[in-house]
Amino acid sequence: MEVFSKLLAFSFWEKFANMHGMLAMFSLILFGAGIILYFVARKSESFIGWLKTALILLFINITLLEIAGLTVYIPYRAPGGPRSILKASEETAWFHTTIFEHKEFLAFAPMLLILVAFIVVSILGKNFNNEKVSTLRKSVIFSLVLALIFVLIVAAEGVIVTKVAPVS
Amino acid sequence: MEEKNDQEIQVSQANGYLIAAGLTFIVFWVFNILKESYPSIKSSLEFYKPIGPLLGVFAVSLVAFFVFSALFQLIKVKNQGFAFWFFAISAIVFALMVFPPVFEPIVHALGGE
Repeated sequence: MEVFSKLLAFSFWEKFANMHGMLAMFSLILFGAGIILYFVARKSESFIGWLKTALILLFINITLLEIAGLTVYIPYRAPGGPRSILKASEETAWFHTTIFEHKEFLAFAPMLLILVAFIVVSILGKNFNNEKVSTLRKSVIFSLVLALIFVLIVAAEGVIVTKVAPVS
Repeated sequence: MEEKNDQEIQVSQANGYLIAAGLTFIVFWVFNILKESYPSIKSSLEFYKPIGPLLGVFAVSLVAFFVFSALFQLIKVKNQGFAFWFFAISAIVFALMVFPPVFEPIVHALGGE
């Protein structure tokens, strides 16, 4: 029981930052589902609907992740918050000016990549496996894989920074 | 014949969204450089002060995506290869152009801090 009371003792922003991380972890399951369903849909037309569902769920997940990220930015930027702590010293300033800045900008891309993948699959519908649209189909798996790589980079950058100066 | 036309419409619609997304990536990193270079642009993107100008760059980019999407449903792009490569290269270039060691020299060249 002690562990639960300690977890509950976290501040609101600590809980919120943890939820933000949990959303990122959850996206990995949906990325796995999306990539597998892409190849399953290539074999069987009946799974195209499943692929669309996985992509829209992934888009919702990443959008919520994005909104949570922008919200956590409030305590991060607040006076006395991690940003000012990091920028106060030359030794640690690069954690914000290089790593965190790249993280916050790069985070925009996965949302758009997955939205486009969903739109392309929705437009192609039952023609998804038609050889005449092979290049468009490629854009779907490209978007999934690139968005996954970007999410992993963003997550790694987030971990690097919050280990030095956590949101509290 | 009708089925072929339907397929062509589908292809040009999907191509339009790929081009729109590619252009949106460009809008994002261009606005990011502009906000770092010009304080007036930075302050105009601060829709909500506690979050800062980042929210403005996100909002402008999302609006750009909707505008470009609508535009490229009117302008038909038939070439799948062009649409795909434009989208793919824009997405990869985006990751580089939002990396501070890459965009900061451009900011300095434009007179920013």
